[in-house]
Amino acid sequence: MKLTVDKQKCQGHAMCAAVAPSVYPLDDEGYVAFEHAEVDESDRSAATLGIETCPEQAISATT
Amino acid sequence: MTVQNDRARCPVVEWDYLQGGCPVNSGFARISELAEKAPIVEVEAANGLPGYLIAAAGEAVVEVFQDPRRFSSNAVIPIEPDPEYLMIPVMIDPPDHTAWRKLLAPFFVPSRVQMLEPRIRARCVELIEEFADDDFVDFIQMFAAQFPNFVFMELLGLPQKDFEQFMVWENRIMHADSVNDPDRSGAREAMVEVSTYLGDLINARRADPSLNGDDLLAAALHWEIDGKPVTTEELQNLCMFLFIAGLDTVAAQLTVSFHHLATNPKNRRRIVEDPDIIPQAVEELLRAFPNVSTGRKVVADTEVAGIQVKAGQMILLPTSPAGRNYATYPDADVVDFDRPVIRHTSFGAGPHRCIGAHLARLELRVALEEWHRRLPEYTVDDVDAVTEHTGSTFGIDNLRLVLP
Repeated sequence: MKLTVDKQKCQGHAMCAAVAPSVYPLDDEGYVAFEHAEVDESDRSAATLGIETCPEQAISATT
Repeated sequence: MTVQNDRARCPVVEWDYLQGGCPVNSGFARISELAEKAPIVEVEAANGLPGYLIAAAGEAVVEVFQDPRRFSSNAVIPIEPDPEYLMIPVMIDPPDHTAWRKLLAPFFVPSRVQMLEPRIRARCVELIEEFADDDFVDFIQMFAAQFPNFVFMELLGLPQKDFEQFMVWENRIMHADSVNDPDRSGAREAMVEVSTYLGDLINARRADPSLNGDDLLAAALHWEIDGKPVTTEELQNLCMFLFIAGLDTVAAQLTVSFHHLATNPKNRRRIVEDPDIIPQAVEELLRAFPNVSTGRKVVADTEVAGIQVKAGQMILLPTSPAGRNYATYPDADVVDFDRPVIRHTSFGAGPHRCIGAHLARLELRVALEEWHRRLPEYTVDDVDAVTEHTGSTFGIDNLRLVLP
């Protein structure tokens, strides 16, 4: 599963990190630390939870 | 581009921005009813107050929050479209807003907030132990108003000896009502007094650097924007805003949460028996009770959720429509700690999303933890007499709990 974070939209709510901390590490300023990430199949549901919880809808996924 | 005044798609409604004496949580129901008419509705000028729009649907609220170029924060109270005051940084637009947020951010990121936890927890416990053996407690006076006040003082490194004075000011500013302060002159006077205190403090800190600790105010003395040092007046505006932003909001959220738990024994017992769900419970309580509303001013004629809006119009933005969204959550008004996805905009969205969100969550979590360790059973005294006020932060007026 490939994740993309729209860095313009990410406002540092950190809800993704709250529900899936290993999938969504934060940088020092409280934003998601990556723009693109490849996620293990075993992390699919955690990653999806992060996508669904983001108030800004800043995270998207392919496959 | 032609602008149509398409009233058929923007229904006019009656709305009392300052409605008070209401049943608890009825404000959310009234907002939901608006959404049934249209994503944006219009309130006409009346009783000497200007008209404004209300974003009643979640998509409309988020659209406005996310676009500061079309929707300015230079005015944030819908009935005050041309304010004479400036709250920093909430009333500033990008790019200056972005500069302020970058300076403030380090003090509010999750990792920094965690460092405050021990002292915040200790103070929470002290507050609870004051009344834990009593038969009743005035929840707002003895706990909900005091706790966030302490946190504000910690953030700025204010001396604890001034706590009582801040409580007096807090009461005069936040609890002015039509009986004790009908023209709000007492509240305005208190705000001037707070501002003066802050000005004196800033000057004292500048004069004697040994007074500065590892706090936000100490750092702020050296801040620059566009190469220019921030002025004492700007720092006063900033600190004033931080005082107001974190006080009533957290107090209101604590009060509505404990009112819920006092009147919903099943949810309360869940928290007592399974404290691991507390972070999730905090989030669900935020989704269910989004107390804050704010506003924006339309910069140029445009559309929101397909509806034409005009330059200069004020838009009231409640934070409830996204989280209390009956399309997403058919039982949106039910507090359910087992929801698989808890999505809300109770802290706003876009560049102005509440910078204090992580701190607020910490306060709420610690309060739920420490209270239920000591007071697992409690009820509301005279539950039918409990009322709420609306305005920019919805809040319960008084909450007397019966302690066994």
